[in-house]
Amino acid sequence: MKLEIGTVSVESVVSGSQTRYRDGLLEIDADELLDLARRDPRITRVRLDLAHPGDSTRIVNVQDVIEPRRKVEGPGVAYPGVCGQSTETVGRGRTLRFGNVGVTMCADLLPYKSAPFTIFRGSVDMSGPGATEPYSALHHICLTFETDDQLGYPERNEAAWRATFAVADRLAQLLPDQRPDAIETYELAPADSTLPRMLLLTNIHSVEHHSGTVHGFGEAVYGLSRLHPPWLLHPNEILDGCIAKRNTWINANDPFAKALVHAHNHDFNVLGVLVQRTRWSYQSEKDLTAHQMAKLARMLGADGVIIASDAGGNDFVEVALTVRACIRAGLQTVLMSTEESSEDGAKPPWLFTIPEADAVVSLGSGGSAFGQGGRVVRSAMERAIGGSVLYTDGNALDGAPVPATAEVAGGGSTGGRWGSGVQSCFDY
Amino acid sequence: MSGIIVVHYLNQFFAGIGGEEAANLPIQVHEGPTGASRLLQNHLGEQGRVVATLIGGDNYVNEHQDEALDAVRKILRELSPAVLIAGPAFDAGRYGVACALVGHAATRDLGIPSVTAMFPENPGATLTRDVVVVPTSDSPRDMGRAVTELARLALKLGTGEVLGPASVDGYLPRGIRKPGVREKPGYERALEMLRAKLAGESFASEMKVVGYEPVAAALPVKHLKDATLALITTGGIVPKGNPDRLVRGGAKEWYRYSIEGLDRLDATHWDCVHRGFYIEIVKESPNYVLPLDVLRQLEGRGDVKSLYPWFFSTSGVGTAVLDARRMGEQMGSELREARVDGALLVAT
Amino acid sequence: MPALALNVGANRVIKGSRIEHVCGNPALPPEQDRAVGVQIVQTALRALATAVAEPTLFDAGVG
Repeated sequence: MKLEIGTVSVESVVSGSQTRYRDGLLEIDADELLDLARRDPRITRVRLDLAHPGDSTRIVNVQDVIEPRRKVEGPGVAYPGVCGQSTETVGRGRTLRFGNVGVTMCADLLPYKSAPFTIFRGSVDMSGPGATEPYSALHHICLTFETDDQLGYPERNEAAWRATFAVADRLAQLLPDQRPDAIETYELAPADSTLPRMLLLTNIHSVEHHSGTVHGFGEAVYGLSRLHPPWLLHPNEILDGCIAKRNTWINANDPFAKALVHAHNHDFNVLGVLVQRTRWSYQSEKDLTAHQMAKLARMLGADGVIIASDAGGNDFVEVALTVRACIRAGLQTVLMSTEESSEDGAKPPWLFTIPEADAVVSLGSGGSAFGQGGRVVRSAMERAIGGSVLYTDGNALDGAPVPATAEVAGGGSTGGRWGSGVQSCFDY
Repeated sequence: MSGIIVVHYLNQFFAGIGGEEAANLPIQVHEGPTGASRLLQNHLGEQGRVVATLIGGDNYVNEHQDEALDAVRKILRELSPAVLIAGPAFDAGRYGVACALVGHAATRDLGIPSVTAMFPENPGATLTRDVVVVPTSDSPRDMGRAVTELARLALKLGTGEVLGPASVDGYLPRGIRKPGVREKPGYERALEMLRAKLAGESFASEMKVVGYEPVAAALPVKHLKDATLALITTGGIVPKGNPDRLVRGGAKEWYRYSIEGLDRLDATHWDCVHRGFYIEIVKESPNYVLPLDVLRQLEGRGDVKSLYPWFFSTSGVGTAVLDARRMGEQMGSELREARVDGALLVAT
Repeated sequence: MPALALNVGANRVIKGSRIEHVCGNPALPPEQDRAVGVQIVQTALRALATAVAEPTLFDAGVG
């Protein structure tokens, strides 16, 4: 299974009379894209704005950033399974991408009823102390949506995402005619049998619990966001966009998946990635998924596993139980995880203690809406895209809104379960 | 002589007074360094001055803690050192505990920073997070290195310098975690840690896992039929309209609501505020997280004598441990005064 | 989530039905839903009357 990813670099994005690309310049016909985005009657309003690295601009109500991609060789499509696309297995052939650009979905829209105003919503400062890689370094084609509020949340979210994917796809149509500036090849070739075998076990929150339906809109594997037994994926599938809908950009550019491929046949024989869904409702279900993850790792022949998590709340219970199950199954286990804020030593680092976890990489306690580590002060911006307020506190009944352009404390990313951040915590 | 003012605590043996037969020695002060504190003074050099050696018999301090620590505090108040050094105790358990107790009294009660040194498995090593503990081997052969480290850290603490992380500044982690930055991204560190683990090489975990402190179990209710029980929920049940503005998470307050004359909670008069679980079912039937209907039934049958006329409510998600502890103490205190025999806490 | 409650150190932990409906099961007909709630609460009462030395799980035997 060999995948080539060709990058066509974008140096600037401008609004013009046609949608076209030439020599690093991506020109977009805003009217054309808006027409496309407006087609779905569930969408009541869309606007399009551009944001560039270095702008004094804050993009708020960011629900997703989608990279324009096109499969030009090999089975399947870019972002399989989402919004009605083919679910054929991806990860081989050749896929082209526009580098440095994202189609960014903004909406003041809850993921499900009674959700806190801050959950899953991001904001991106294009300059200043709040600017962080990777998003602050991209050109953003922002689509700000309003949807029919007579409809249920799953539908409204689906409509806005479908429109955003459609626009990303329209831009991706330009790709086959371009020559990529760089090509990266990903492959897990037959490995030296003396190398230790490993798997990455990653944990993805499912919205099923909170939305009360299996069709709840959320981060999806081949389009499925519901709670389900673990999936086994080849890193190429992830790098070919099979995990999408929320965090689409970083999933398709997953640095951990890339690192696994590079480590294969050097330090390890990489067997693949096991994806666990979290936030099961019954204790017995949480126990079951953990047992099955460990069992699968064993059946596949792993000697060791890395368990990756940025889970908060009771999602962490599954992670903790999986660590325990893997250690008990005799697997050498490393846990890479975010942690709770210490409250000067009053609070243990995790909701659920795992005394047997002797190999831990800490991603720190900042970055989440409720974390307290790594606070920066994000300077005021001249312009806001995506909305006029920024919600700052998920615990507050009204979300504690401030003007979107205001100076605000907080932010800084842990890098999430992809482990891309250098934030951490230290024992004192 | 120059340098910061230091007081050194030693036991009867390291002060040169005697062995086990002198273990009942009450707290004594010796002006200037004596016994092992002379070695410490050498390491402090010009930067620190051991103005007094505080000496306590290991048995005395362990068995008469209150008196011993009163004496210690009195002396330290007079001497007003910039830092208190205790030990090294190596693997001597009573001595290690005494060092921790003395250090804790200095820091917690008088605001004087304190540092000690002992074998990590010494019971004194984890007694208190107020004292900085330098890890040593289990034997006094380690004395030279231990005293060097004690002096170094004491000077840091005594001059108000900020301590670095435990792994950098060479002391035992105290369960306090602070944010910081590593050199490489998480996934690289994870891959390297797994590689080392699989190869049987040493590696440094980025976290010393600490759990929750144990709580002693309450004695059982003797006769349920004579008992008054209280209901508590962390499911965020509030009267419709949320008059007290209970927050959806990170709660610092709890509220009491009357259940006098009520057989059950209904959706017309009650609501649910909580961001941590799917609340629609409970909104329709609050009894699922506050089973008043069932308890009234059991009360009617005589399985319990009565229910406390208020239930306590808060939203139990993202709650700071200190707040949770305080709220629990407040609830417990009220119920105890009201002579309630037991409580049911329903958590989601 | 009894595992979490035990982990935190609660000494008497009763296994409830599900996070969204701890003391009952709305998927069942009303009488059976109620019976589940009664079983769980009665198990809780039994736990109150039982001496324990450390975090202990009491299972009502119903979902």
